[in-house]
Amino acid sequence: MGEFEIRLTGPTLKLLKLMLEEPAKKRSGAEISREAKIGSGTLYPLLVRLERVGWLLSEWEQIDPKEAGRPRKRFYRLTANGYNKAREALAAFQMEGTPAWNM
Amino acid sequence: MEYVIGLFFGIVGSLVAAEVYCWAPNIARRCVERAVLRLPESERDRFREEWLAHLGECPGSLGKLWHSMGCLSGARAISAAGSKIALVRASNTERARSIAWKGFLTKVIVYSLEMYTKPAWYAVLFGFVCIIFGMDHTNQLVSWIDYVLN
Repeated sequence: MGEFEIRLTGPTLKLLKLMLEEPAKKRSGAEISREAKIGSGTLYPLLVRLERVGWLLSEWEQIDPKEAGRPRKRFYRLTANGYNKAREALAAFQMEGTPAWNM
Repeated sequence: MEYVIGLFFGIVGSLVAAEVYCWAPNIARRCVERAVLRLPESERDRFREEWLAHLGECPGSLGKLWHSMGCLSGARAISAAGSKIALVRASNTERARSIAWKGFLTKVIVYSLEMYTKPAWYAVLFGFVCIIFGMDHTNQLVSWIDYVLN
């Protein structure tokens, strides 16, 4: 976990906003992509970056792929540090007293 | 003649579209496998499984193709994220590729427009249509020439 700069691009803000809606909820890449409307080409590098700086944690779905007949999903959720950083990041975009992540 | 050209492109276009639609899931899977090869070895197993799981959740063939294309570009960004030099190289390659693509597409459009205005190409296209429909106009042409001469 290094201290890298996270560039607050549009997709980054969309992702953080989604994750802040239910911070404890684990979401798969497909779910995030669908809900935040971010394409795979942008989403996965972003998830990797946020995971490397310690804003997100990821873990495998607890299933046996052979029994389920499909590959395991990987779930992402905010860390405590990520939660604070994401709120700070989005606070800059707060409009008329409503936090950006509630809009 | 424009009707014939339109018909030709319509038939060929729909055939190609139908083929692509049928093959899309396989193509998408191959693209994901190819994207995985662009990643550092330590990351390959993880993303292969993750992206294939995502692929399984994509609705429709075009959705699967779109996801796999995303994986291809995402893999480059992930592997470049390790170092700034690699990132700059990747962005330069991406820019060069984008310029090359734009150049290629411009040439295709210009060439298509030129082709559309050159009567010689009508004959070639007409020949293709004849081949596709199994039509043989040689005898007809010969009989017309006979008719005109006699």
